[in-house]
Amino acid sequence: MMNSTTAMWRKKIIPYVMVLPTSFLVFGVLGYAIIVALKDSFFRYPPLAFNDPGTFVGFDNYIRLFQNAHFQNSIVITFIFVFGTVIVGLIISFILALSLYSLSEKARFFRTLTLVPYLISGVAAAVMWRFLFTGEVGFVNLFIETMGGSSVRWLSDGRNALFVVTLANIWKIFPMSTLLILAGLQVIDTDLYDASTVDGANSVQIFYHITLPLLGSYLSTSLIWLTFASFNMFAIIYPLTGGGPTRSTEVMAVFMYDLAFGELNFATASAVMIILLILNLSFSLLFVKLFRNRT
Amino acid sequence: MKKAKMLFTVLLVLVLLPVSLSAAGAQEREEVVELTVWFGREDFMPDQGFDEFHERYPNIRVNADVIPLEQALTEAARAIASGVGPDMLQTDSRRLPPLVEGGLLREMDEYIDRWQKEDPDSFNALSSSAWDHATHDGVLYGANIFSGPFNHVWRIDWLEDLGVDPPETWEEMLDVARAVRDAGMGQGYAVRGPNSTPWFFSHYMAMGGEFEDNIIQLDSDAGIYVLSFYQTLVREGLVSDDVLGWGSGDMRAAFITGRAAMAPIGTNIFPNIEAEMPYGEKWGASPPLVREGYEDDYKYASLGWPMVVTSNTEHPYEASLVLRYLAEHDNALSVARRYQPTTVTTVWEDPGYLAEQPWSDDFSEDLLNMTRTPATIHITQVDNIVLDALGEVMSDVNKDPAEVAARYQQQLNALE
Repeated sequence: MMNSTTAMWRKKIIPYVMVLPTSFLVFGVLGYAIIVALKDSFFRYPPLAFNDPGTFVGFDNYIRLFQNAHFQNSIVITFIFVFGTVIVGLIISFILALSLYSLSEKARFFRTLTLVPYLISGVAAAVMWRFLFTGEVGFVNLFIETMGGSSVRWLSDGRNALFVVTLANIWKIFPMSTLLILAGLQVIDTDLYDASTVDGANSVQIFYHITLPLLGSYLSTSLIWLTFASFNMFAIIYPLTGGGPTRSTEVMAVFMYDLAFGELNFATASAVMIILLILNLSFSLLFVKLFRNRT
Repeated sequence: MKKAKMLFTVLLVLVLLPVSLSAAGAQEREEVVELTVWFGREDFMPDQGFDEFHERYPNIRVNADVIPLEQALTEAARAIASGVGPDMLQTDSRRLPPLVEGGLLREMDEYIDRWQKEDPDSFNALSSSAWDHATHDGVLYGANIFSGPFNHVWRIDWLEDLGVDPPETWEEMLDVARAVRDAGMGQGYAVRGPNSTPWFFSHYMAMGGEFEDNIIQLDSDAGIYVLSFYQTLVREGLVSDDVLGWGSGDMRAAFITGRAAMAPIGTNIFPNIEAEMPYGEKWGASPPLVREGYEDDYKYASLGWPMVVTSNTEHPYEASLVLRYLAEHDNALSVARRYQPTTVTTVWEDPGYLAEQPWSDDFSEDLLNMTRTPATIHITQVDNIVLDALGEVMSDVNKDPAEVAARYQQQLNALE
């Protein structure tokens, strides 16, 4: 009796003990940054006065932010960028995950290959994309011209530049999402597929009634990853376009960087960080709820 | 008894000797002054580092590090606030006002005066740019050993083929650019897009632009003129179609690789051009051009990267010795040969330097008359407003530059 109680407690407690170090790390590092940023977003400080206690200004930093035309612009750009990435990124990830799932064991090499974009540093990736799309001498325009077309102003036209940075972002972050979906596909019991085939279901019905529902939690994690990575994306955009031309690729993360390290306005930059955090959390909760019901 | 005395003496010596030696050593160690110096680029460090300095001043130890110019301001503020900041740091002189207003720098007038008295030769060898770029509100915070202007460069062979003379005014430059375009030789002019201001300020100052409280006056005659100038370049196809997305690298590459006839290029890039084509035969260079009728208001804009002394230091005199060392002929020469022009005028006459950089002789007189690009504590806000205005006229060539200038000037005037 005693042994079974102890074993039960062990079973309950050990998982919590195991996650304690990570929890300490997450709450200690991220938690501290969030608390300080939250506090700073309600204060105003003289530039570069890191030891100054600052002046409490309530929601003034947030009010000023939402009145700022450039911040309003960055919100619009951010949503186009994030939704573009999430929609296209998820479709590509899904297709690729299904393809990788269908590959034989001998072709595992391709799974590793998929990870390459994720392993390249953001700045290096941005430089590579810049070489590809730079005006007259970029590879893409040279290819278009060789095929008889006219060169396109990829990085000097606002809409095209936003398209290019979205494409580069998808390329950079989709591998992780692909692997998440692939992991989900691999844990689905193949007996379910066999049973549904015996029951006369076609491949579309199998996909909608078995694969998709059982992938729910993996899809939500994948969506959370794509959304969160896109909202916070800076490493690709800044070296690729610097937020330009004429602020057409200035997402909130780039706007925040400029506020903090350009204008030295860390308090307002902290307010942007909190808004980004709220957006990330909201979308994460939405995806979790959406796919929990679906599952 | 004698033996005992001897033994006692020997023992006493043996005990006291290490103690006295260690005390002497400790005293020597205490006297060593350590200075942490942040360079903005590795290229700004003299070839020999601080070896000779350490030989000359055995009691001063310089710990040199590289903190990129773009990060120096925030890194220094954080480090100094934590009590571990550098004794000296290198900054872009446009970032000097925030450093001063943040209380991060130490006044150095007294020690610069001592420099003048103790080593007049090295002091007098420095041009006025050495002090202009290290001064804020009349107070000196260090010395500027390197200062670089943007210049006007052109393809001699292209202009000869066209049968036109090198332009001397901006109006002539536009005409030559039109001729290059019409002849299908390439782009008339290369310029970067609305993503960085120093090139724009160089044009503005050469066109006679003035500053009020160190803030550009976009709605002035020169302000409207420079906006119109950039708009004309785009509207008439005198620059690349992709100019809005161009950075400095694109602009320089267009000239160096033979796609543009003229460009505004910093002196530090001249060796790269020289590697591709000989100076004086294929390409020429001069200070920025003048605007017709505004010759008296012309200014040859320069950027500077002064080494300044921080409020963190307890050894300002020793820091001034580091400044003197960096300003020595050989040390300044070693940097000027591979990177930025120096304010040490003796370098400009160095035969080796003149042989390596044949354009230097043509510029030596002009380098004495450079004007520092004015700086304000609101540098980033000013830059952003200017770039928004520039972006607006370059992306919509039908916009009225005067209206755009007036609208953005209101934003500049509203800066707190």
